[in-house]
Amino acid sequence: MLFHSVAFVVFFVIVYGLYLALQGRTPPRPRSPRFIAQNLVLLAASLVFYGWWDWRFLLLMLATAGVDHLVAVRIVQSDRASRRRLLLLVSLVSNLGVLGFFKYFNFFAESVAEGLSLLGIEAHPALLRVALPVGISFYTFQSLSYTIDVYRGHLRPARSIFSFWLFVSFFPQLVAGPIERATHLLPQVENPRRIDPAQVDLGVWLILWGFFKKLVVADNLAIVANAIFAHPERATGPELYLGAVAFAGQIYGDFSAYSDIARGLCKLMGFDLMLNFRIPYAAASPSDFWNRWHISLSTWLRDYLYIPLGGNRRGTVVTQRNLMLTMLLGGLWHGAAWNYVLWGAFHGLVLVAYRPFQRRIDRVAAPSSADPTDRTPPPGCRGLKLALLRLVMFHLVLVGWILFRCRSLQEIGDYFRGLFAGWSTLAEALAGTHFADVVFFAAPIVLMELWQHRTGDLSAPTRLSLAPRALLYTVLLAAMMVWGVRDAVEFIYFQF
Amino acid sequence: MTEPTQAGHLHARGLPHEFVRDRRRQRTVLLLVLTASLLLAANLGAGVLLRRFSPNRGYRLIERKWAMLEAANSPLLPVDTLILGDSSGNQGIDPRAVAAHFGGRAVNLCTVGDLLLLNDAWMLERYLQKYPPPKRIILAHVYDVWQRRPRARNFTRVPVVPAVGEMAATPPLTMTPGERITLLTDRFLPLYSENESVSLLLRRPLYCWSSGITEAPPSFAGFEPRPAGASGAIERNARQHLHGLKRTRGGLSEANRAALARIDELAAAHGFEVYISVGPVYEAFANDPVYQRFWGESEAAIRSAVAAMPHVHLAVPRPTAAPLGDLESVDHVSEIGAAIYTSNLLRSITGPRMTK
Repeated sequence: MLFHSVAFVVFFVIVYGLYLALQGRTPPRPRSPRFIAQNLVLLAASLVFYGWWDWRFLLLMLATAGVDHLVAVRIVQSDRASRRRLLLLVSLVSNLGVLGFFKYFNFFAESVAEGLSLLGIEAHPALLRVALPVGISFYTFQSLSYTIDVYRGHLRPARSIFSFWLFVSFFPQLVAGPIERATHLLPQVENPRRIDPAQVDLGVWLILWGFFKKLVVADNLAIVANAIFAHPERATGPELYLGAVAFAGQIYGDFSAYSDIARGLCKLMGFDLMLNFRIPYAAASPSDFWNRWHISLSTWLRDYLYIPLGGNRRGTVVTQRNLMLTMLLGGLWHGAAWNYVLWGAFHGLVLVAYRPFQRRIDRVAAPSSADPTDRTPPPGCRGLKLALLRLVMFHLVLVGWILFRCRSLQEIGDYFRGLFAGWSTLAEALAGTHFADVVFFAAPIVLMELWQHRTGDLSAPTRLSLAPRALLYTVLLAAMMVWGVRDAVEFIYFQF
Repeated sequence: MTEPTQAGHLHARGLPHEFVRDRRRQRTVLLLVLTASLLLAANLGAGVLLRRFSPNRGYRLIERKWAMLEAANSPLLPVDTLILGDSSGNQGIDPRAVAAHFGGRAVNLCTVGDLLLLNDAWMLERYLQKYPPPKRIILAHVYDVWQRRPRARNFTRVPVVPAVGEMAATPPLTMTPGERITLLTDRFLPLYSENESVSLLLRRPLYCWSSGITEAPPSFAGFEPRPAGASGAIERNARQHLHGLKRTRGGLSEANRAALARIDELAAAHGFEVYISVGPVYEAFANDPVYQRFWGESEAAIRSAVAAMPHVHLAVPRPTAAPLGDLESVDHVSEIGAAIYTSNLLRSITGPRMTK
């Protein structure tokens, strides 16, 4: 069930109607029948939402979550460290086993066979012929963080299996995040929510802006990116560059749209989900980029992988190893394919290469004031350096997106070879429809983010007074009517 | 992946934040109401703009012809010969030649093929409500209209099709609830339903203005001649048609059969004759077996239906093969082709070999 489908609109209207009816004028008391009913409505809705794709995978999700809940309860009950470690291991094996089986089995089997064939040994691995459960990487990481946090003593287990199931399967963020931490979302599940008009106001904006980014920006840029990435060997350098920019806009528009809509829907119901993006293409350094892009995953990997590996506390070599490992696994999290591994490795290398210069770069990249909302432009020379750093970082990200989007090593080779050829045709590319489309459809998001960047306020449009704000909303809705791509295109991150 | 810090939370130096502003519920409601009102106004404005400047030729053609019929004190009406049909007739049959041949007056009210013969029946009914009956009706349609079924959204611009309530005209257009919603949306939300026209006007206003695509073409009593098409484009067009025909069976759809029966009924009641003319097609296309199979099936169905209708005659029972120079597209004649087509049609109507 896609957010931008009639089925979802009908579904949400029904669910929200029931939710509001149970909410009443005053929030229900904890553990009151009204509150329990409200959570049951959300759980049932989440199961219907997920089952809409494939009901069989519901059982898988409920089973792995059930194991995690049981493990968490036993961890708290146990006073022996070895038993607690063993229980955590059960959770890790259960979650990563299911993820590995469904997502990575074929990839590893094929890779081993290809490796053997290079040694002259023919192998015919048995491959799985099953569909990948939608959003498995998202909910697995979410569920895993719960048992780890309980093990670490940061969290007590959920009060009931139903609360935990709702935490894992909560429909707005189930299939494409943000990957919520139990420490943040579980208390909201277990306690009555207050529907705050201010949050609803922000939620309406997030939903509207999310739909605009998906339907107008991402899906139109996808048309350009798909056309160019389909045959990189036939395109000229300027066209390939344009294709990479179009894909950068598409993937950001698409993924951040999902996050915005998910967060907006939650705000309507009194929930708060974590921010997942903070104007990522304004990043001036690699670390800055990962503070802004897919924040829920990058912080997850930092807290549950990078720091447990030792982080940056054990010298340069170990730090670099940790960075590479974290980024490689971050790449692999996206999918079982070598291009994702390459994408992760590339970003790992960028982080490794950046570390020796980190202090010098950060002196330019970090704002002059301690106040995060102070957006005073940096003085002359530093402003230029900052702009240059942003430009360099954006192009490093573009290189990453080419690796991410290409489907084979051959295609990656074709793309990078072609990128440096045929620049004599620049004028033709600039006069072409692809260029006009990229400029036209990327312009709204660029302008909006310039505004957000200048004010330091991601919810800048909500600052407007009533009339200009209504005008802005009307323009966005009208643009969706005119330029919104009609065939419902799945969100890119559903596949992960 | 995030810049590694030993602190367990994201360090957010210089990063933008989300601020929640104090709002009252009434303000959000007011914002939504105002937005909805502005959106409605934008659609109304777009509707007005599109009535004058729409680059959608089909919509404008339907509006022009219905406006000619509905106009009070039209200098062109009433007529002795009423020409109804689709775009092949609109640019193929010259009412001046028809009037010169039969005497009296003639007008061409042909629209587009997607309205099928249903629109012919409705226009004729409306004409008879306003004027004395004509002496004859010419129904000019292209070869592939006959088997088509109605799609509700094509009828957005037809004034006798109401968005809500039952149709007064016969035969009525039957619509599912979903189709009715689509029709409502199409009629009242032109930003959505005519998005391509709006997009063209907004993104390429200079092109729209300089190319004249938003202007009405010259009209001679409803006849709107077109220049000859490029041969390559016609060849490509022929290939597209053949590709489509491979998966399509010829015939006469229920909607078209009902419309034809209604026209025959009106002819009997008001005492005039109806002449069907099937428009010419490109000669190489006419020789293709895929086309011949399709047309054979359509012609058999049309002949069988017409046999039971005493006032309906097949004047040009099958598409004549036309050379490239006479055509604008594979099944639409150019201005030169129109003169030949009209003259052949008139000869057939008055000649001895009229078929049932």
